Amino acid sequence: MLTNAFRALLANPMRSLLVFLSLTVSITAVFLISAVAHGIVSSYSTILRSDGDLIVTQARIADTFFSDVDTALIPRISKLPGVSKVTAMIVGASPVGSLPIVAVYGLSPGRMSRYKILAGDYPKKGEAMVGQGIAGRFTGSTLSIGDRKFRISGVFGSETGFESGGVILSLEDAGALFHKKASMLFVDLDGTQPARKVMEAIRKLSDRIEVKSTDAFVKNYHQFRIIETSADVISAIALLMGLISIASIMSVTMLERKYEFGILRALGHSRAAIVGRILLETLMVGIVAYLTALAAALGILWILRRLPALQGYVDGVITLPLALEVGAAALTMTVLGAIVPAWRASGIDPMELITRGSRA
Amino acid sequence: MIEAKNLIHFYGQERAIDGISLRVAPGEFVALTGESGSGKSTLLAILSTLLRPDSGELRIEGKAPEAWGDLNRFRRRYIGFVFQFHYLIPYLSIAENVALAADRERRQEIPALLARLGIGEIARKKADEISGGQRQRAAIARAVVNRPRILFADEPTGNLDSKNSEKVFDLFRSIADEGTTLVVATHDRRLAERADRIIDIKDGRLV
Repeated sequence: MLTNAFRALLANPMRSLLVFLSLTVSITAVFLISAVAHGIVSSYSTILRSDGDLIVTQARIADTFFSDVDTALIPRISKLPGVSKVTAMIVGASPVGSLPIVAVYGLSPGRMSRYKILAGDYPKKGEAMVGQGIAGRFTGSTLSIGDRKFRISGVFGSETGFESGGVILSLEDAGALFHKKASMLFVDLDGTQPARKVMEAIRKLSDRIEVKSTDAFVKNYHQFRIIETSADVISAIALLMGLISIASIMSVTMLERKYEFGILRALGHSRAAIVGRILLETLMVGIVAYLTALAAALGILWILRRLPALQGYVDGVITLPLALEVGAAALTMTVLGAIVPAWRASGIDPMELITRGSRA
Repeated sequence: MIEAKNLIHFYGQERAIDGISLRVAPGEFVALTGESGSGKSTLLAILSTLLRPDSGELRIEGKAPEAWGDLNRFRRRYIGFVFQFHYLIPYLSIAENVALAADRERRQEIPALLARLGIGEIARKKADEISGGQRQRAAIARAVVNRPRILFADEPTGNLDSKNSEKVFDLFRSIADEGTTLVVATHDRRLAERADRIIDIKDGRLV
């Protein structure tokens, strides 16, 4: 049965190729959109999850970029029962040297150690440390961030594209640059108190702050949801376009092969058996297209990750769950695109075999 | 046994079959003849259950087609068709085309059947690699592989030269002699005379 399906595909090489290309382009688009969105969310989530059980931000802000938390809270939170460590971070973006936009992180001393030193040392006041993703873009001993100049203290490594393509500064320098004390505070717990109780205690310190567990913060972060929803919508459109292409190509193919299905009907094959034959052929193309699209997407993401112009920020990730999800969506699209033309083809009246050329 | 009573069928306003009644006995070889447009192919389609008449009664082996339940299974088991065009699937070999129609237990008989029909040596070839006469014999092999009780053929020699037409009717004669009921629509009076009985049709009526 598989051999016959394969032969039927080879017998209509142009149609088979068109179905294959429609599917491959759609699935590759879905992989790239989903992988890049997943990569953005995953990169920033990794930064947020890297340290601390709780995250403190300014209350009622749309994005951590706009958050401003008073660092005077750090010693007060540190003294609360159940708290072992409090660190602060500023997240911003600014032109750096000739690069139009670079992620800039201001870090309290306790957060520096998570960045691996590749050359030099962590930055002190007036210094900046550059990520390995953009280190090659700076040849001198200084660099400009916005309208300020900093001495380059070294190069750090990070597996997160957003960090590897960024710059780290001391918290004070970043505060002066972005006119704030801290974007967020990270609170480590020592396990002696329930997290809920510590959160309540922190909330009582100021009505201008919001406290969440790191997990809850990442899961409910509005920007992540916007990115993921946008990716889902664009992916759905790509799949829909693929579906329409398959349906139109299959319709033409079925018309060309109507006598083939007519003779099967006349020989006593059921409509379901004919639909099954057609779906098997289309699914074979679908599986090959899926594997081709997966390989193409992995290749394109590999190239995007290394494009100097993108500074490593486009760090798409194809995880196993994503690969399985796209696979299921692609095969569903293949079946949906083929099933209506297949059903119509299977309904050909065998009488057409008689009336073709000789109505008596 | 095929019994038809007062069959009527319209194409739009045109009465293609106009009150035809007939009986075909088991093992009988009947030729339906008539000029182009006389209604012979339409009658053949009705008798072979491919077309439902607008009115009238049809019984095959004593039962109305609806009484056989699954019409697909009925056709596969009891009826064989040969059309004017061979309708061989181009990407399959001749043997594979025949196998498409064959019940599982009949598949091993395909080489012998093809040999009997004189096309054993082209079993592995495809339709576009053989002659018109060989194609039609392959179509006949496909129609008889399940040993149907009734074989219908619509202008089976319409695309063949006289030599190949003779060969096809020789085959039909031998199939009928083995006990299969045959109903063949043809406009070729000379070939029709090879049948046991000729039924002439004109303007949708028996002459």
